[in-house]
Amino acid sequence: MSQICEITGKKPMSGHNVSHAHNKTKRKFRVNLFKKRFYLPSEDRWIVLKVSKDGLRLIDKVGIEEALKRAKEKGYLTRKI
Amino acid sequence: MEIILLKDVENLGFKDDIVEVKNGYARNYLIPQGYAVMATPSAKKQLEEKLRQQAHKEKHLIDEAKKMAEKLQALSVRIFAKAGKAGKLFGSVNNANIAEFLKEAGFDIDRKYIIVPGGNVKRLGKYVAKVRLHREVVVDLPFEVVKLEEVQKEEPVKEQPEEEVQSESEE
Repeated sequence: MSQICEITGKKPMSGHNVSHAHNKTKRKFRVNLFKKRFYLPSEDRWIVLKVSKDGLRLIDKVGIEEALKRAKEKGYLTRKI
Repeated sequence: MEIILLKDVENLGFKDDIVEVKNGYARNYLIPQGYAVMATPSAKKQLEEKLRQQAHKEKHLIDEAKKMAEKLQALSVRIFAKAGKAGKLFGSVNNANIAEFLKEAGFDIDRKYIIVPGGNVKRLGKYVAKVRLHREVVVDLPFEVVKLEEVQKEEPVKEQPEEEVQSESEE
């Protein structure tokens, strides 16, 4: 399953684990993602989104519908909800 | 998150109030249940406009509320309650008791518009409750909790003499 936030478009970054001796091994920086149910006041129904903590903060700030609009404009939200 | 209430919510506020609540409370409860909407800048402007348009319609309501407020403040509210020796009540006195008292005195005010300090009173003595008659008319209502048996002994409250200020020279 892809680990992409549907509101902010954040996805895992790759990097290195660096030991004290500067040995580098591959690692992934994962996104703080979770599934969350949101209520759409205009349509009177609930939708389920995969959002990161930053996406949730955005929704709390601008509202779910404005956040969805922005995500669609930027192309982060591709599936139909 | 700042929200605008669409209905009265107990322990939170009244219709058309703008209140600050925890994000989850608004997101998962208040907004889905239809108690509130988010206070976005545009929603706030709409609310202001609505209140301004209502203002002159509500003027007589406010006047009435103010008249009622004056009457209320002239009233001396006494709640009788059973109490132990140290002045501790058996049970407590809350806004329902005051609402009942006011109803007997001819004021029909819902208990949710009466706020008792700390939610309820558990000792004898004098307290001040807040009564909300209108969004813009909130009055202090002093009340006294009196022991049930001591009613007959009560003396009228003496007024304190005002201190006179002496001036050194008079013109």
